[in-house]
Amino acid sequence: MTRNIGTDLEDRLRGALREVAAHAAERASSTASSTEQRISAGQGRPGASRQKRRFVVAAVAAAACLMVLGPWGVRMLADLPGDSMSDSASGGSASEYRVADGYRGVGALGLIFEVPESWSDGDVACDGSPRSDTVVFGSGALCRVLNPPKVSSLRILPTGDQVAASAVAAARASEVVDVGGVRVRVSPVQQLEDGAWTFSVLDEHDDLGDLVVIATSQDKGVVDRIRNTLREVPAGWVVVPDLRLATVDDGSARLRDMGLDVSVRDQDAPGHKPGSIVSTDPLMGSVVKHGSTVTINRAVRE
Amino acid sequence: MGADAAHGGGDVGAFLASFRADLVALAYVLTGSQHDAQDVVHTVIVRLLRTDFTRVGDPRAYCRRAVINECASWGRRRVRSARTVKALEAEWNRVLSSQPDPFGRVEVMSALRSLSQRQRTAVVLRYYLDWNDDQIAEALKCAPATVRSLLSRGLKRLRAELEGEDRR
Repeated sequence: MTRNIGTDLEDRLRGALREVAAHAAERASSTASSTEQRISAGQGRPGASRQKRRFVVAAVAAAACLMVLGPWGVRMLADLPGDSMSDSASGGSASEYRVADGYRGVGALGLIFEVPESWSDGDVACDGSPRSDTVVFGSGALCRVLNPPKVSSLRILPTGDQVAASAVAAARASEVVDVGGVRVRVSPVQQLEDGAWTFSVLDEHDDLGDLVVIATSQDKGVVDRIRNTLREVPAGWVVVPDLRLATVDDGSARLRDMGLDVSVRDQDAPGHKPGSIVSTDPLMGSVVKHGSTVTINRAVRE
Repeated sequence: MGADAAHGGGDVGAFLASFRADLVALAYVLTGSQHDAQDVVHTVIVRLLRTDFTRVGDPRAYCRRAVINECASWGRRRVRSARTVKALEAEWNRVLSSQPDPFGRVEVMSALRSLSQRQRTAVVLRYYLDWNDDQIAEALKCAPATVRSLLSRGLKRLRAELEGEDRR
């Protein structure tokens, strides 16, 4: 073995790596029982916590998809039958959770955030900033917009996202509250330097890979309403995950694990790799009833 | 239950379950993230469940190589931006700094992240798994001389990083 460097560094490396590995193994073991049962049973697919982690991972890397999906995705949304909160009676394939008239529910962190029904989905500039009143999963700044428009948004971002830093800090500084059994940190509504109002929500056990939900608007009433109508995702309902980076097989399996039925629909998707998941119907973040059918829109040609 | 069972075509699921924590540990030191490590191992295990272990000479080495390969492709798929690195540092600092740290593991892991994917993999395989040049070369699909180069440059970089840390 080449030894042109001090053995103290090598000893340090060995010691440090083994310590952190032991720590990782211990953490893995603490969550292993259910996983091992599934692996032993040949299922190899953990349940809700795994789905959440994979959903988070997908959200972290969603930037590129958003960039590609952006204009086309918005057009596709416009093409969907019925409105975004449709249920089976009005053209959609899943029973979605109903909130107040004129509003729709967006699920994240085990909670439902009510936003005006008119808000679009994922309408962002290349820096991830909203271009219109919109709901955004993941930011993924790929450029810088000097004068972002003053619009309202509900953004679901990884806690490690740079643009979420101040919102994460605000939520971390807040007390844990119990929202129907879901323990989260909810910051007070605060005014930003640009005059916009905002509040943010973090999971109680705020950890790497978790999400922060940030509501922002120039209109304090909009933010107040979202905060005041926070509620838990009720038993028997689930949130459609972000499957944009999953394979159709993996995505279908995840949805079935969540108690949802799956159908796959082929769509022309310029810019998408054939066979990849373009979107779901209902969209990610939708709160749907167990047993509902979620349609995976699969790209059939670039 | 273990490698022998898997090798003999026995209960592959039980073998993988018993070996899972070791694989997560390996993925952890390669990726620097518990979440990534568990996702990597999950992906690998799902794939390995379909593997015919009767054709595999050393199931444990086979599984480890699968994790190493998945970590490499995982790194390529995920764009590790500065903000992600910051978040990882926060995780390391929060989880590890509360415990005795005779080896300066927080600084070591932080320094490891400054290496390229291949350099980091070579260093981890050498100093965590004690693999020799030939074994590492096989895993990285390169020549042993390349491994020696990766290790030499990696250690040089690590020393510079750690000396910088120590000065701070």
